[in-house]
Amino acid sequence: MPLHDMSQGDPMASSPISEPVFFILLSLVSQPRHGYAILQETERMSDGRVRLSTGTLYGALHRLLEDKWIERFAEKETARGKQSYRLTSLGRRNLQAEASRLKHLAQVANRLIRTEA
Amino acid sequence: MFLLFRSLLLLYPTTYRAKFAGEMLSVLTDRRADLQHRPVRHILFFARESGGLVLGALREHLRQFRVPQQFPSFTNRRSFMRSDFRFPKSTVTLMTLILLCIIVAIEKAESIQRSIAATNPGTSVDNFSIVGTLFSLLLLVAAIALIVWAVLFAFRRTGLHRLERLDFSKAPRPKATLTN
Repeated sequence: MPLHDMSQGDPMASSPISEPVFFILLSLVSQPRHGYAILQETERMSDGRVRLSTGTLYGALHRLLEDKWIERFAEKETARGKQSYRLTSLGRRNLQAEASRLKHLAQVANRLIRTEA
Repeated sequence: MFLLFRSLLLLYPTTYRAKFAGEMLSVLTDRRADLQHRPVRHILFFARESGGLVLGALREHLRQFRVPQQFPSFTNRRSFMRSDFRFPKSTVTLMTLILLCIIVAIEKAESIQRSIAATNPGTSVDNFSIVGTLFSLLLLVAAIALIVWAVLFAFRRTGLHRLERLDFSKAPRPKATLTN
């Protein structure tokens, strides 16, 4: 499945997504989260390697919202009425495609390294 | 600290700020609550978040200049100006800040150049100044950008760009008049 280009939303275009965006999307796979929870989950999943600033996080969320990879909704349970984010079916498909691409890359790399060794 | 964050949020485009500013401040508050009473952590937090906000604002302004895909761009040899384009006030502030930084950097470079010449009279400082060249280049680029913008603005004022969108097939045909 071709990976959708984030910038244009063109289904024919194919480009890998950046690591922070990949982690942001991954953090939304199991459940919807608000901004701070996304930051915490991203940091936890990457073992503290990916530490996003608030400006960077919201820049990425804005882009993902525009391209309809994620959607935003108001949480009813919280007192402050925080906005949460969840993956759309398009976002889930693209995340799956990116995971497959990375898996293929790792397989090729491992095969080559083993052959050279 | 939060006063600065609030000020930096003013650098963002208005629509973006209306949508995300409250949420961003809430995240910043939560993050600061996580920090323990360690000054180093506070300094790092402050530096990273301030940098992130400034770069984020710059990125959002640059995105406003991006031409949407459904309209022809310069690559199609057709000029296009977004009909909803407005020059936000925060862009002016951001550009002024950048200009001030450039001027300060130039001043600093010139003072270093002078101090080198004063402390080492034997060494000759070339008349060729990279700062001057860069400044001239900047002026040239600004002049070209101004000319391009003026041409596009003129096109827009004439309404020439609207002609492409006209669909003559849907236009009512004039009734045929019977003539003897």
